Amino acid sequence: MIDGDRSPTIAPPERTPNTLVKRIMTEIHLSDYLEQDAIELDLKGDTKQKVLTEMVGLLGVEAESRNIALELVMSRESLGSTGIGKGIAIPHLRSTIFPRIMLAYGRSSEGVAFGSIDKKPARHFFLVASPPIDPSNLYHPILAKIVQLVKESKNRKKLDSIDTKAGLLNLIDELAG
Amino acid sequence: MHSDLEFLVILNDIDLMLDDLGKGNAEVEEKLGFDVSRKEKLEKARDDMRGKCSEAVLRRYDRVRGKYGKVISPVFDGVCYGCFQRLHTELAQISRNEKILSCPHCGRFLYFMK
Repeated sequence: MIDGDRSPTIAPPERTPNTLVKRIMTEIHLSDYLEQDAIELDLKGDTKQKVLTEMVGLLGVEAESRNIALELVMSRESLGSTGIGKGIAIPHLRSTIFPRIMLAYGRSSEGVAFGSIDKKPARHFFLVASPPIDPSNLYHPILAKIVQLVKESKNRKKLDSIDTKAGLLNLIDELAG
Repeated sequence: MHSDLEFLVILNDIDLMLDDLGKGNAEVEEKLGFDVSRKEKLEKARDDMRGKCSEAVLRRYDRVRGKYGKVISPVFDGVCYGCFQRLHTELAQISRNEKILSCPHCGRFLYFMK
C-alpha cells in the first residue's frame, strides 16, 4: 500500500445502546407470542383477582399449574400495580412453569379497578408470562413493545373497535408486528 | 401436584423476582410505567409462602438456594435444565410432580414439564 493511501472503507454500523434497542424493538413481533386461544374480548370478571384468574386461564397452562401462575401474578401486583393508565394493564410474571414467553390479551367492556396510576379502571389487559431465565432475553423488550403500542390513543381506539379474535391478531400484527 | 412443590415453585419465583429488582429491573419497570414501590409487600408474600412449606423442605430449599439462585429446575424429555444432565430412567418415570424430587447431579428440585 502506498503511504497515505486510504482504501475505501465502509463505516461500521453504529452500535450505540439506542440503535440496539431500536433493532430489537423492530425485530420483535408480538403476534409470534400471542395465540388466538389466548384472546378473550369479553372478560367477565369485575375485580382484579377475577380478571387475572381469567387471564391466566387463557395461557393454556395445565390446570394444576394455574394456581402457581395466579399466585405469582398477584404477588407481582402486590409490588405495585401494572395498570399503566389510559385503561391499560400489563400484568406480567416469570415462572418455571412456562417453557417459553407467552402472551394473552383480554378486554373488559365495563373496566375493572386495577389500582392503575391514573386511578381509572383498566379495560385492556396484556398478560406477559416468561420463564425465569429467558435465553432470548426478550421479556423486557416485549413489555416495552406493548407499552409502545398502547401509548398512542389511535391504537387504543383500534383495540376498542375490534370484534373478533382474528381481527385482533391482525391488528396486533399491523401495529406491532 | 405435591403441595410443597407448588409452594416451592412460587417461593423460588418470588425470590428470583426480588433478586431481579436489585439487579436494575426495578428501574427498567419504572421507566416502562409500572409501579414497583412496595417491595415490602412482595417480601411479605415471600415470607407467607415460606410459612406454608414444611421445615424439612425449607432447609433443603435454603441449602440449594445458597448454591444456586434458581432452586427449581424444569425437566424436559428427561433432562434437568438446571445442569443439563439426563435423569436416569426410573427417576424420569416417577409420577410427575406428585413427589418432591431432586436432581441427583445438581441437587435442584425438579419440576416436570408436560
